[in-house]
Amino acid sequence: MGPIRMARASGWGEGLLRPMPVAGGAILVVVVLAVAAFLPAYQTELVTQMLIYAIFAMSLDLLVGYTGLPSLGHSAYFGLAAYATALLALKLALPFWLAAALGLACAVIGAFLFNLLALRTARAYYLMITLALSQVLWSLAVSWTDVTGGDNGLPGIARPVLGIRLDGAGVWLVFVALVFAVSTLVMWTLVRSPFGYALRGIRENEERMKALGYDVWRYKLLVSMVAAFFAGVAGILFLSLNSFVGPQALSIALSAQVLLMVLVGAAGTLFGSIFGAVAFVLLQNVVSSWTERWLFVVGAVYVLFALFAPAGALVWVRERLRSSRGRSR
Amino acid sequence: MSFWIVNTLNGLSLAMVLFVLSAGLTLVFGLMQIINMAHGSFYLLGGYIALSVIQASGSFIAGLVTACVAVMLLGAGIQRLMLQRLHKQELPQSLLTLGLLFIIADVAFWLWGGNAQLVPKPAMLEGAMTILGVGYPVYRVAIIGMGLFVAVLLWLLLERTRVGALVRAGMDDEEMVRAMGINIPLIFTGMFAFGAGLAALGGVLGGPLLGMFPGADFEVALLAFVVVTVGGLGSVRGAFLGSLLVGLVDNFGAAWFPQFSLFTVIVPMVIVLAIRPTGLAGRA
Amino acid sequence: MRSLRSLALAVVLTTCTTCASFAQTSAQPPIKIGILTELSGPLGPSGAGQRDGFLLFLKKNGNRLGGRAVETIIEDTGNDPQTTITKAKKLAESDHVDLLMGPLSSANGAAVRNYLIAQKLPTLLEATVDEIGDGKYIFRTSFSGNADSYLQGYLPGKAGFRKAIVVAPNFNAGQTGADYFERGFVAAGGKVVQRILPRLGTPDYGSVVGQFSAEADVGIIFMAGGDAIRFVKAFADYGKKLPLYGFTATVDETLLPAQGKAALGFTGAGFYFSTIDSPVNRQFVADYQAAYKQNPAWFSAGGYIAAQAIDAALMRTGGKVDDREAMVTALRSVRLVTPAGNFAFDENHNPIQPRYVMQVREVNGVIRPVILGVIPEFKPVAEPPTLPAGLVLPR
Repeated sequence: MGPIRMARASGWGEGLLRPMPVAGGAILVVVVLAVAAFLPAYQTELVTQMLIYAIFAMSLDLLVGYTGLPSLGHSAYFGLAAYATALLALKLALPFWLAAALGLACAVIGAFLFNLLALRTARAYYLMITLALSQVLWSLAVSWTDVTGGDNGLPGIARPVLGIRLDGAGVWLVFVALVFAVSTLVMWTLVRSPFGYALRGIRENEERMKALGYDVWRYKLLVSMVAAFFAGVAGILFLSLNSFVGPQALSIALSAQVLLMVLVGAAGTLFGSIFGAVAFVLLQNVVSSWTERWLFVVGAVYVLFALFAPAGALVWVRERLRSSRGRSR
Repeated sequence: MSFWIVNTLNGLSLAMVLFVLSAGLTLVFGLMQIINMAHGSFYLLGGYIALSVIQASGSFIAGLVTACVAVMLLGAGIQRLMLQRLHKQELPQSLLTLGLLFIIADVAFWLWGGNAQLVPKPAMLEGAMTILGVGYPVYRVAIIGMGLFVAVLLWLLLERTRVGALVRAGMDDEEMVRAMGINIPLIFTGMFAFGAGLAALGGVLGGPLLGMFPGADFEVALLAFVVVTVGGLGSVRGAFLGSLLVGLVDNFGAAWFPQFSLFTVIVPMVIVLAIRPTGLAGRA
Repeated sequence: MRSLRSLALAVVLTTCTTCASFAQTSAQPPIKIGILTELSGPLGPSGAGQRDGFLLFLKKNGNRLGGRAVETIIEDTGNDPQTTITKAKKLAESDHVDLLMGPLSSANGAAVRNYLIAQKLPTLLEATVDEIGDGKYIFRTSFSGNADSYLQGYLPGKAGFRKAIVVAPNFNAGQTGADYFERGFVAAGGKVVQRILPRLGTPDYGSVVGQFSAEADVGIIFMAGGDAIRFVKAFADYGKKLPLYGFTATVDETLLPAQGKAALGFTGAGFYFSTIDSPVNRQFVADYQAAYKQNPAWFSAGGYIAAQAIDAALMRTGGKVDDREAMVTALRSVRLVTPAGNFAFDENHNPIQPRYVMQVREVNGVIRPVILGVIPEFKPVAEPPTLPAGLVLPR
């Protein structure tokens, strides 16, 4: 038993992470209900943002952490889904749910088309071409004012109706938490499926996977489309959160932010991204209320993480836990 | 005719600023596989330091030298104290340099204020001269000259000196150079500092044209990343080609289709990478 | 021992003063005013100026507006619309501010407007895009982009120019600005022969200047920040082939030290320059200089005016802010004498205040805006304004 467990833990640490979904799920339910019931609107808003960003960051982790595809253009799918949904709902007056479904389809098709180009490249070139492709969309959003509203964005998308109106901050949070739970479960199942292990194989040694007969390109394309789907889910939730989408939903800044969430949390662990998202929202909103020099503080936090927890917070915690357990034995 | 001359010269002067800036980025990547997100910050610091020194001393050369030396020292410190610990770990390196980008941006905002400023030109390079019958600013011609000078210098350094041979060997096979008893960490520190110094030089040379303001770091870093990717990461020759391509396409693009100038930098890169996934001069 | 006693004394004293101030504040708690503007990034200095202008008036007034003590809560939009909305929610629903001084950036203003209106939060902002206003809760203390762009186009037309090149950056405000330049210029008898919309952040405006049509006799320009410096410098590098008119942010007083002689000759109209010669403004400039070691610019004046407007409105409501409708009505009816001149809001809550026609000139070795004439009461609508008699527009 011992050695097997060791091997698993030293592999990618699912050994320790296994109880997490259960515990994490329970904690989430309690937190969400408490927040929805007791906290004022602003705190509710922050928790909602954390959950949305967590979906977004986990979707990027599928690429960065599991497949070894360092994307710096992940905002493309977040923004594409949000813009498509907003435009369909506003200009064609489609019902929200239909617009959202088509918005997600746009993100997935966008990922398919973009990756026909992007997957020709690897590593740093992949990073740059994903950045460039997302910049093309951003540039369209900024300059094609008649359609996109340009810099001023598209306001006025009402929150959807689902039996009851999802208007109130508390109700909305519960809805977002549900979407979050389902998304997490789907992504978690995915990375633990044979498909997920194949992705890790590609990350570790692409040539060997090819030799073993895997169609590496097809795996990469498929995971990119899945990642785009969940990025799109996050984009549409964010659109509804503020009834607003603007070019920053397609920006490099957002792509860099979500990459930071993944890296801070621990790439390749899925749940690390949740931590990264929580930390990001806190840093972004709380530190900037404390000090005018918040950018400095945020930067310093990233530097400290890079130096002292280079593999990310979750891995750092796991190593501490393991070493303390080792000592107590 | 004058349209072609002016736009070509404009393209070349921008290209040479971009080349000086991106040469450091590409060398650092080639040797250490570091994607330095804070490269634009070195550019910004270089420009700002030069600005302050020139204002205090009145000498452009003093500003240029101080800026390059100061930023080189900073680069050496960052490599020695931080990046060295993360050797070959690409993701934490990105995290670190992104963090540095925020920190330096904020410190620069704090020290130099947020108003856009220009690095003063050296007095002897003010005014215009006549090239092929067309009036053209002297300073821009000087930039083209400086860029070519740096290019030749880099070529000599890499191809004709012992240090250059070591760097090239280190790019090809780090382990072998290490096995030969060469002090690789020292070469790494030196190269990172050198790259930072080149970025600062880019800031000093480009400062009189492009100006220094919050966000300039990000703006030029994006251009530099496009240049080195188009050219082929790790290749100085590629950075030179990439700079020419980006400089000329951006200028002629702005002249012919100004309303599409948001796309004139990005779309050529997508096209180049679609055809040649490792850039113009990149190794597969 | 002695030091110990004095320490004890100090503690007692502090406690007493705290008690006293507590008693005072519990009688009437301070009014909470949120300041939500751009404090970092390229617009950072402008937002900081807006904040500083506001705080200067507050300080001069003994930290009181309309007789009430004031507590300010300052937040940075991070120049990001999404963050702006989140911060607005914090200020409105967590800090429970009574009033808000809002952003300078049009994108951030546009993003947050619907929320502010839904919250019925009286807001004074400086963002200039017209659609942001609602004629109810949102007040502007700067200027309306459309009307001012129209004016910048109208002036060169009245100066006798007939063929214009319009240059503006390719985003919302730039595109609309270019449209209204053209309307104003056409209304004054001119024709736009070339319209160039380069991207914001164009590194080299040489290629833009290089393609200027030879048949044009004037350029009408909309630029700001780093782009303004680059453009003005590139334009001078190629020998200033045309007279330039346009949006005065292009040669903003904060940019003139960098632009230097390259900016000379640029003509335009704006609502505030530090060189306005009035007693109120001389005092404002002196106070601002003393407090912040620099000259105020239009965004600082806008912040100062916002504080003045709140002060005057609270005088009318007797210091009450709870009744939002009464507060809005009071704000709507304020009449002020500001550093920028006589001030009132129109029915859309845009400011009616003077426009100063200026040209950048060198006076005693200092390059600065020189005021050529005043439009005493400029209505913020895009229609031909009445220019002052005797105004000689530069050719």
